[in-house]
Amino acid sequence: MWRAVVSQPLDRTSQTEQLGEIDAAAGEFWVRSVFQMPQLGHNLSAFEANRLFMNVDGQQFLDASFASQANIDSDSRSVIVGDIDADGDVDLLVGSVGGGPVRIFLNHIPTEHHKVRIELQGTSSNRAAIGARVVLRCGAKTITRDLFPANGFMGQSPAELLVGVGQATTIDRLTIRWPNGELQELEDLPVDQNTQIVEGREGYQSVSF
Amino acid sequence: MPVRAISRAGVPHLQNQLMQCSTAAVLVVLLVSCRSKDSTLPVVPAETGQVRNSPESATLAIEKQEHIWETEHVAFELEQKFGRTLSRALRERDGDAIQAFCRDSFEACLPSSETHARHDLGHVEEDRKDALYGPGSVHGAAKFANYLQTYFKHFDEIDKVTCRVLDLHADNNDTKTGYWDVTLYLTGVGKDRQQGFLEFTSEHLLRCYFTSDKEIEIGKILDRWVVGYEVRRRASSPLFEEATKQAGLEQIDIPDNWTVARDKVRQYHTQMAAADFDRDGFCDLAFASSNGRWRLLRSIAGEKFEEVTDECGLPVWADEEPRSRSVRDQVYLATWIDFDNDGYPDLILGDRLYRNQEGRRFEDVTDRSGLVFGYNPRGLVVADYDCDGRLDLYALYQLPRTTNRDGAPGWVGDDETGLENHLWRNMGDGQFANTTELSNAGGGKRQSFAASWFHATDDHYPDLYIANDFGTNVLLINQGNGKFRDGSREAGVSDYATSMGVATGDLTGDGHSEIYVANMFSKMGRRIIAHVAADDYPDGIFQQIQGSCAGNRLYTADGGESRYQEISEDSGVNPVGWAYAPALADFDSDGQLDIYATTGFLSFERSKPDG
Repeated sequence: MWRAVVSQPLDRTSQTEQLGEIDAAAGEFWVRSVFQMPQLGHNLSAFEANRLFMNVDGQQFLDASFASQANIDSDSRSVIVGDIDADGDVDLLVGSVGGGPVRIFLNHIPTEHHKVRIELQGTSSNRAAIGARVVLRCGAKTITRDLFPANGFMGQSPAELLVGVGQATTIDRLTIRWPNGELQELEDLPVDQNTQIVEGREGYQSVSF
Repeated sequence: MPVRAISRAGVPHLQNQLMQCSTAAVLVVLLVSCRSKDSTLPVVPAETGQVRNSPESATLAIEKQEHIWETEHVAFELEQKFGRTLSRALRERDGDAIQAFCRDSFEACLPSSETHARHDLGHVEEDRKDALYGPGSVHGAAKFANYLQTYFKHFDEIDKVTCRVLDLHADNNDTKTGYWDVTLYLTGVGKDRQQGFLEFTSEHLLRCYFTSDKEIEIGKILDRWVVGYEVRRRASSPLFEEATKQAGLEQIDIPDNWTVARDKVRQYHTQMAAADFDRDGFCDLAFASSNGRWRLLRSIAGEKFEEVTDECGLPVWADEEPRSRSVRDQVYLATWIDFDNDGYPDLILGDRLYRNQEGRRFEDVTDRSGLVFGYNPRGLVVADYDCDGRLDLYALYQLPRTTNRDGAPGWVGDDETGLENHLWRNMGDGQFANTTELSNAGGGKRQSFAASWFHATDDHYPDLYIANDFGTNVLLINQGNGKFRDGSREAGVSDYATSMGVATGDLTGDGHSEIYVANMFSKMGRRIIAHVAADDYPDGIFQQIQGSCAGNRLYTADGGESRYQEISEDSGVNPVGWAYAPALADFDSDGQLDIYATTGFLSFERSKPDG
C-alpha cells in the first residue's frame, strides 16, 4: 500500500504497475489497486496488537502492552473505559472486527493507590454535569479532570469521574467548575469512596466502594 | 516504544565514541545522514489543504519508484528469510547458527559500557541501555555469536522473537554495489524464572553484503553489526485479565470478520456505548451493528450481561422489510444522552431516539425530536455546547464511497470532498434543532471519523477537536456566543494525516488538556518515505505523506498556551499502528492519565506477509 501512497499521493484510485521482482514463493505479492487487497484476502496492517502506555511522569510513557493481556491483535476498533465491575478501577471493553467482537478486560494492576469516584449532579447545569471540570488538591499534587463521555471511535465511554490520587489518603480540596461556569469548593474529602455532590448544595454524601 | 530511533538518542554517543573506533565510523556517519530526515517532525505548511495539485504533477519520478521497488523487495527478503532464521537462532540460543551469518570480513561493535535509564511504576518496570563504545569495542564473529547467544539469558520461556527492518539503504543509493545498511529492530517476549512477563526490544545497525535473494536465504551476509540501544521491561503479574466468557459476551451476535465469508468482511460495523441506564450502580451496554441488529445489555451486578432489548421495548427487528433494514444498515449509532435531564440516560440506537422511562422501558420519541441522521454517521459526541443546561449532539459524517467526486480523491490533502458534520442543539421539550450553519460548526467538507469535546480554552464552554481521514483535522473554538471559530491553524493541531480517532485529557498534569490523535504508524511506510524527500513533490505533499505513516500524535499546550507542541515521538506514544480508538484513563490510579489504543486494519492469515 505504501508504495502506492508514495508513488501517487493525490490519486487514491490509481493503478500501480509492478515495477520490479516479486518473490511469490515466499508470499510477496502486488495488487495494482490497493482497494483490491481486502477482497483478495491480503493482510494489510494485520495482526497489530493494541497498546497500553503507562504514564511515567507526564512526559514519558512506558509501553506496558506486553504485560497487559489486553494487547490483542484482533483488528480492534472501539474501546470503552469504565468501571465495569464497580470495584473502583478502570476496566476495558474492546470492540473488534475480528477474533471476538466484544471483549472485556478487568483491571488487575497490583497497586495500593487510592482513588475517588466523584458523582456530580447538575441543577442549573445539565443534570449529568457533562462539561464540568474538577481540580483535586492532595498535598503537593494537583489533578485536573474534565467530565465528558469520550467517544474515541465508534464507542462511547460512560460519563464518570474515577480519579486516582496515588498515595494520598485525603483530598485536601476539591474545586468543581460546573458546566455553567459556577465554582464550588469542598475540603477534606475521604478517598476510596463514591462521593456525590449536587450543584449549589453544600457538603457531599459518600459511600465506600 | 519500538521505534525510538538510534538516530535520536543513541547516535550522538555512537558518533563520538566511534571516532576512536575507525572500523565502524563510516557506517555510523552514513546512518546518521540517512536517518536525519526522520528526526525532524513534519512541519505543516501554512496553506494546508489549499494545495491544488493535479495527481499527475505529484506523481513520483519513475526512477525513484523503481528504486523503492527494488529496495522494498530486499527488505521483504531480509525480513522473511534472514529475519526468520536469525529469530530462530536467537530463540534456540544457537551460537553456531549466529556465527554462520558472518562473512569472513565480519566485525561487530559491541558496547564497552552503557548509559542506563530506569522507570519503575511498581507494577511494571523498564530499563533502557544506550551503548557506549571504546577502543575495545570491535570484535570478531565468535565473540559476537556469544553475545547474541546469551542475549535472552533472562528468559525462562521465550514466546516470540521478531526481526523487523526499520530502515534500508543501498550503499551510496546504488543497489548494484551489493552493500546494504540496515536498521534492525529486534524484539523478544516471554517469561522469566519467577513467571514474570518480560519484553526486550532493541535496535541494531547492520551492514550486509549480498548480490541475490539466494544469498540472503543462505544467510552469510553480515559484514558489520553495531549494537544500539536495548530496552528491557518486566511485570510480575498481568495488568488486566480477560473476563469475556464469564461476562457472557463470548457468544454475542455481532459479525466477526474472522468467521464470515470474505465478501462479508467489513472495515467497521458496530458502534457501542456504555451507561448505567437503570441506575443500579453497574454499567450497561448498547450496541448497533451494520447487520441491522440493535441490542441493549443490562449488567448483572457487574459480573455478567443479559440482553434486555425486547424487554425494554427496543426493537429486535425480526422479519423486517428489506427497505427498512437497509436504512438501519446505514445508520448504526449507539449513544447515551440524558436529553430531558431526568437522571436516566436516554438512548440513540440505530437512527432512533428513545426516552428512558426510569430505567424500565424505552419510548421512541424520534419523530417529535426533529433529529434526522444522514448516511452512516461515524458517531455522535455529547456535550452542552451553549451551556444552557441541556445536552446537545454533534454528528460525524463522510461521503458514501459510491458517490462520484469531482477529480480523483487523494491519499493526502483531501479537504473538500467530504461532508459537513451536524450540530444539533437541544431546544428543550424533547426537540432538537440543526444549528450547524448558525454556529459555524460544520468543520468543513471532510471525512470525519471521531471528535472529542474538551476545554481548549480557559472558559467553561466546551471546544471540539475533529479527527478526519485523508485531510486535515479541525479544532473548533467555542466563542461562548453560540458560534465556533476554526482555531486549528493558530493552535498548530490541524494534523496532516489519516486520522481515525481522538482522545483528550490532561496527560502532562499541568491542568490543561492534551489532544491525542489516532493516525497510522507503519514501519513499511516509514521505510519507504526515507527514500523520498520534499523536493520530489509539489509543495506540502511530502509532509502529508510523512504524517500519514508517522503514527499517533500527542499535542500539548504547555501551560495553556494557545499554540500546541507535538511531542508524540519524544513521549513514545506514536508507534501504535493502523490506529482507531484511543482512550485515556488512570489505570493504576497514580493521579496520571494513561493511554489504551486500538489498532489493526484487516487481518486474514497469520502466516502470510503484510501488504
